[in-house]
Amino acid sequence: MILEMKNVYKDFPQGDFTVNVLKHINIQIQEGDYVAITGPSGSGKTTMMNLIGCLDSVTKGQMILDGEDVSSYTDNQLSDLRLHKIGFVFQNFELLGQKSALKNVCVPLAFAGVPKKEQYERAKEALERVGLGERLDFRPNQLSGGQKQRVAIARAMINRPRILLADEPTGALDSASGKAVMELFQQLNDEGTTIIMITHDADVAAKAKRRAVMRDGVLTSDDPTLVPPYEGEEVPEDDK
Amino acid sequence: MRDNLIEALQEIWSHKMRSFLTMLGVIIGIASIIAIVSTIKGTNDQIMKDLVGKGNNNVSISLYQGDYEYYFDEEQVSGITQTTEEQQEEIRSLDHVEDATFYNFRSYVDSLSAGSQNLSGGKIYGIDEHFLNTCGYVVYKGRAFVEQDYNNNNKVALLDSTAADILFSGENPIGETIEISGEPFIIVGLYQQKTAFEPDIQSLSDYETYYTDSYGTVLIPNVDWAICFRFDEPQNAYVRADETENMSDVGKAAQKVMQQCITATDTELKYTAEDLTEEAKQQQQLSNSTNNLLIWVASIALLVGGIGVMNIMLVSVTERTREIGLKRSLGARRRRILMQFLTESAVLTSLGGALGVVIGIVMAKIISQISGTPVGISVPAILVSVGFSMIIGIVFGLLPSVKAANLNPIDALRRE
Repeated sequence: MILEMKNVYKDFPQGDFTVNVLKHINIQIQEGDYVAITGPSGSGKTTMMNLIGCLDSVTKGQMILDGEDVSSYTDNQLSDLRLHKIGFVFQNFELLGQKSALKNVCVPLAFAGVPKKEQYERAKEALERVGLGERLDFRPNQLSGGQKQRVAIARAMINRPRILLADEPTGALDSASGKAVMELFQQLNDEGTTIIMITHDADVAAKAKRRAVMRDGVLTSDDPTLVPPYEGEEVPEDDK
Repeated sequence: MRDNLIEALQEIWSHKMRSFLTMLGVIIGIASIIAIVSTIKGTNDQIMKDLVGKGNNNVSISLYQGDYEYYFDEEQVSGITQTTEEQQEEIRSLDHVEDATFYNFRSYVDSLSAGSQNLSGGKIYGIDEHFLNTCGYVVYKGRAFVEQDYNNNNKVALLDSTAADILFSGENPIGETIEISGEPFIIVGLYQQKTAFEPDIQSLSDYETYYTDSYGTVLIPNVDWAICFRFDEPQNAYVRADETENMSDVGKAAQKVMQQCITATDTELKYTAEDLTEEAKQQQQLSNSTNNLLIWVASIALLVGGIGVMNIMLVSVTERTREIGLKRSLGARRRRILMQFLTESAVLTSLGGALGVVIGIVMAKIISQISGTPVGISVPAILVSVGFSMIIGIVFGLLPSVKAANLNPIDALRRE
């Protein structure tokens, strides 16, 4: 199992109140899975992604990533997890505008302390894989939306992460570019990459092998191996 | 670190105008400091050179009686011997000594004439073979004294141009005869300073210090001294130090050796090395205190510059919040973000400092042109200035950098 969340809660204090954004979340994702987490706005999808992406830590419960319980990891440990085990793909690509495609892909390698020469070689290879071998020195403003997202995917995959985490990967793309990106995801998954995709687009979600749905902070699925039935000790009064 | 440096330079370059304006405070502060320090150093160097070194770093060691320089007259001095060859060599081999000469001397001689022309008020030296070299003189016409002159007690003389003008009114004096205490001496050459040393004359006392030889000077071999002045008199000395700073020490050491010539115990006679270093230091002290005051004023400009840097760095952090969020989500630790912004701030102010140094030197040169004061470029001051501006960048960059490093990646990514 690559990721397991056991009875996870996430609360946000807001003044005198506490907002329970995620409630008794259980999910089990196997290596090589291709999972879509869907749901309407405000259902807790983004918070879910932040937890899976180790950008935030759980309030209660256990999160096991690649065999390690990361629930109480320090900030530095979470940074290292993001660097080595998770690749992010954002809706708005989030490329550094001053840097070329090649150098954007090099960023995580630089964080990992990879020597410059190797950085360039690996980044070039990654960009060739996503079909941008001819655009190495192009800056983001010289690339189309689809190309930008492919650079972002190359960057996400560059440190050979265990999970590729995508947040609305086609949200800012036209349908043709969106289709190309989804094909790339399919290809990566076929090669063994575990993909977790957060989307509210049912068509996009349909491309995944398995789907879970979030509603009001609770995760459900018709697939009990993905979202096991809740076996909690005690469900808080207001959640029943 | 290298990546951070490159990134910092790119960031600064991509906002050229803003970076320059941010640096301006630091540039002005550092330029003022460098201009002040260079001008003051130039003045101090000049004080040292004019007052102490007189252009050739010679320390004069003279015989004193009580508080006054011993006045040689027609009587033999008792209780003192001439310096021996060994003592002279000992002085020449002291640390920091380049050369030394031992001479006899009379000023205001009235027994020196050529025909009907008298050199009243002129000076006469009985010199050894080291005199010309030690004092930085060179014979520009005729010849210098040679070994035979000393071995055979040849009655020969060298004149400076003033003496030549007074005694021979522009005629070529080489080969002519002058009389010293009734003894005839043949003029074999004319001498002058090897390098044109032009002191800064601003007062009558400066003038007296540098131009007392306006009455003319005559040099004769020391072996002839007793012929003119009846006795082998104890000598005074000029000792040339390698550096102006060493003159004081050299003078003291040489004075100690010469002191051995004084054999009498119940005498007021003593050798004294003239030590102008103290006086120079007092003068320098004055300019240094002005210096310190001005540097404090300039530091205020630097402080204001630092605050400007902090302000712009805070703006930069706000502008680049998403970039910070992205980098954090890609795995950058807080420390990396902190270092990135600290480096940028330090590079910004260091560049400002370097520019300030260049402008400061130019300013010092301009001040020098206008006011006529010399400029002394101080390398340590330059290094300290650039180092200090870097420290300003780090100190004032700290707050924005910590702010950047502590940004929550989720909030940072969400920021528009």
